[in-house]
Amino acid sequence: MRCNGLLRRSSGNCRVLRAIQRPLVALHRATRGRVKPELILMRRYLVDRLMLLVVSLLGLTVVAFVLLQVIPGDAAGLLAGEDASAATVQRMRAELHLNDPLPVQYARWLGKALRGDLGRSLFTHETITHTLLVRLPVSVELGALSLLLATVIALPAGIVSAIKADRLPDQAIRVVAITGIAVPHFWLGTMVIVFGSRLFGWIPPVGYASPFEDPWRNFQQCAIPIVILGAGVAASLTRMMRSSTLEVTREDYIRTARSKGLSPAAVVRRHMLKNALIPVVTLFGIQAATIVGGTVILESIFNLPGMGRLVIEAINRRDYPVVQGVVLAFGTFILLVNLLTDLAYTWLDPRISYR
Amino acid sequence: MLRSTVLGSTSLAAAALLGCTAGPPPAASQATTAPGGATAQKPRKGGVLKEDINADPASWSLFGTGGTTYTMTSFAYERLTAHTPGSDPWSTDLHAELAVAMPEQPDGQTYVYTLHEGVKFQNVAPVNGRPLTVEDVKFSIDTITKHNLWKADYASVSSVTTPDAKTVVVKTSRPDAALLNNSSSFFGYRVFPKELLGTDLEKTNVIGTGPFIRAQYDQASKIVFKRNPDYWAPNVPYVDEMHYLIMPDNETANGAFLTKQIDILSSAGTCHQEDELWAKVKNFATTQTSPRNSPFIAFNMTQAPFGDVRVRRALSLAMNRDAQTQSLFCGSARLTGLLPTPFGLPPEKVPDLAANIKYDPKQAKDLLTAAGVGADFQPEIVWTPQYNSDPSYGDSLQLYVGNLKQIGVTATPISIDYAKWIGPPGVYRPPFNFKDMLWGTQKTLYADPNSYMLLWLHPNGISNQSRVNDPALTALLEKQQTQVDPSARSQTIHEIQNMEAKGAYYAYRMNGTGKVFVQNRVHDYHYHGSHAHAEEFRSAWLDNA
Repeated sequence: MRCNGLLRRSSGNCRVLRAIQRPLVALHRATRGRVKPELILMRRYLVDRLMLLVVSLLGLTVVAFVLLQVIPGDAAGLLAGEDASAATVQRMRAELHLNDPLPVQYARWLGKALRGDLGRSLFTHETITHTLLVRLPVSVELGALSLLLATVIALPAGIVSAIKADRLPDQAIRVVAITGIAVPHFWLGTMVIVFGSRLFGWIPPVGYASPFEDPWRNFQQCAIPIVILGAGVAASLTRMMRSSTLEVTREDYIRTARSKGLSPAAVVRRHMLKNALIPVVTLFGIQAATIVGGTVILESIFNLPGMGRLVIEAINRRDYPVVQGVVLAFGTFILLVNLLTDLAYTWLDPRISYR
Repeated sequence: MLRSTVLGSTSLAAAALLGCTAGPPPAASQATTAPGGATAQKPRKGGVLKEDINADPASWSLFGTGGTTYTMTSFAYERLTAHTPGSDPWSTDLHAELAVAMPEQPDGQTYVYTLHEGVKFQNVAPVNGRPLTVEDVKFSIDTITKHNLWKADYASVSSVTTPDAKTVVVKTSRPDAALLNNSSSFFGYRVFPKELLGTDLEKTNVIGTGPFIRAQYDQASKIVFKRNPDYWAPNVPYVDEMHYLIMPDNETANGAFLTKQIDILSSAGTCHQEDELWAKVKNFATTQTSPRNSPFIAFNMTQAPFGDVRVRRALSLAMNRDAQTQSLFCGSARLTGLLPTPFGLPPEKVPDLAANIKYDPKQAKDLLTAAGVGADFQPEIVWTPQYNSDPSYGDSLQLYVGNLKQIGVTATPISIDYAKWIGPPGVYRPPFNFKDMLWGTQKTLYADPNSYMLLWLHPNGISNQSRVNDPALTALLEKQQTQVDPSARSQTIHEIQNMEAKGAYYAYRMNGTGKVFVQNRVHDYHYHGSHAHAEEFRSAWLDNA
């Protein structure tokens, strides 16, 4: 085993990476000779990517920490309130260790984070872990279901649009897709509330309930924002699916498949779909990464206690531990999504190798 | 440094000696009327009362600051005496709360409180419903009065003693006219169990003697308070639960009220939104007035030409307040000046203030010319987006920039992030890092006139953005602090008002009278919205409970 050249200088980090590598290498040794070479390559690839994930996360947290320090003002002033004296604020800064050198503050946070302790909010004093456990599932529910909805809509719509290019179905789908991209989701959300309450005397129930606590209430609260978010993502995915399907349609092997007498459905399923999906998967990965944290306005409109609101409030309050914890959570999620996207490429196109 | 506390009483007389009520606040003291005009009904126990709030409390800490923190923690922490909503939206009355009566004052520097018997802390670990003792009260008062955040307000408190099992005696080193009001406010003598101090609970939960126990807190979603079954006062509160639903979006909160998902809507937004909502809910709701103070403009008087009173007057005369009233407040607004009534004189009775708030662009130009201010006068006006939760804040600035253009002054608004605004070093707070003018928001509703005056006019005031340093004015400010005789204090305060207006140290803007919407099923609810928040619900009850 060896660490990456860069990391060799830091024995502490080397130990961490070895701890990650150890079980994977043990598995590799145990199964060597009984596992296909492609899987060995994939395992090696996964190990490398996981190591890169750790390094990327470290870098992310440093950048987030530094950026928050650069912004004027700090939590002490906000905690003390407008009517506190400067002396009181300074005392509070000292209590919160905000006067310590920045590297010391960061190292203190990192040391605790490596032991699983993300610290506490400077304001609410709740543990960050608890806060993330409460808020993350809401965003995951919103994000995952809207992506699922988007996929269910976009894939068939994009294919139909490509197959019936320049005919009425294609034109209709394209108009709807353009509209979906052009209409801001926060405007749509507000219109639902405004018209819902005034015309129908109904808005989604206020006061979030988890799907385990009250499934029906949760459905009523989340259905509309999921549809709004999903429709927006579906619009982009539809256009991408259409354009990549059109490109694939023009390939020789598709003409060959048709001339062999395969049905249109079989041509799409066996020859077109996987090839057309590669750019769509890329876009899907990007959308998935942004959707979890980019829904702050919809969360405010529909009173959903998700990560979007959490991170905006934390930044405005200069609640450093919360921001660091959120960056860690987001960063992990985004890097994992990127990894899954890359793995998906090799499944879609076996010519793409892990080398 | 001098600092502020929370809002005030019907008059100084009420604040100190007269108009205070012995015993717990009245419960269901007045008849309620249903929409059809039916007469008195007997309060019913039970039910869940729901209200909106637009953000989580910044903190649950016993020593936390911030409006939502105050209002939420007020359900658990009680004081020896407290403010309750008064006869008009700007006023409150003082009532005994944990004390059986307002304190006896054998001299101007001694306050003798007798505690109610049978008061227990809420049945929440670690106090588990144990009885309240005089030692708890002494400990609480000592802690609050010596805390960094409030020790300036309680600088006069010299000792707290407990001569027997029911009595607490507070002595001061000098007469303190503001003490009774301040000690009854949010920053007042809040009684808490010493078991909380030094633990995580001090910052994450609220456990006192109050009528409601915090049962549930879901971040960014809702807060649930349940009636304290062991509450010491008989028969109150009536409702079983209070639910606060956190709704940052105005339209959503309005929609929730319209669809009867909440019983009380604390703010519908702009006056246009209020009018629109009222048109739709008038068959099943009523409104109450939400008191608001005048927002202000501060001038950096250490920077030319703002040191010249003619320039400050000109900048006030240039403001078209009628246009503000019509366009921002749908024709209904008021100006309170330095002090809201009933603390001080209304603007029309302060001659210089009345003169300064007229709209007279010609006189404004003449004053600038007389002061030698030319076309090169291009002031910066700092403001912060944080205050845009008040819809009129930013719009009124745009209107004012237009008004200044008409007198040949080109002003530039400069936006400052809120964290930088309050610093340190601060823009709103010392060292007041702004070059020319500061666009303030409405002041907090303070418990005592002292805060309005000292914070903004005393050389050591932490909100003295105009850097007022007038020895004669300072002497009056310090004099009124020790005048426990209400009529003498009133006179001094009126002198201060006149002096402040003469110096035009601040310019004041109009502010609307906001509306709080209340479903008809809620009875005996009296909005105040500030330091008397928990008291609003003491007697409230619900139809169909």
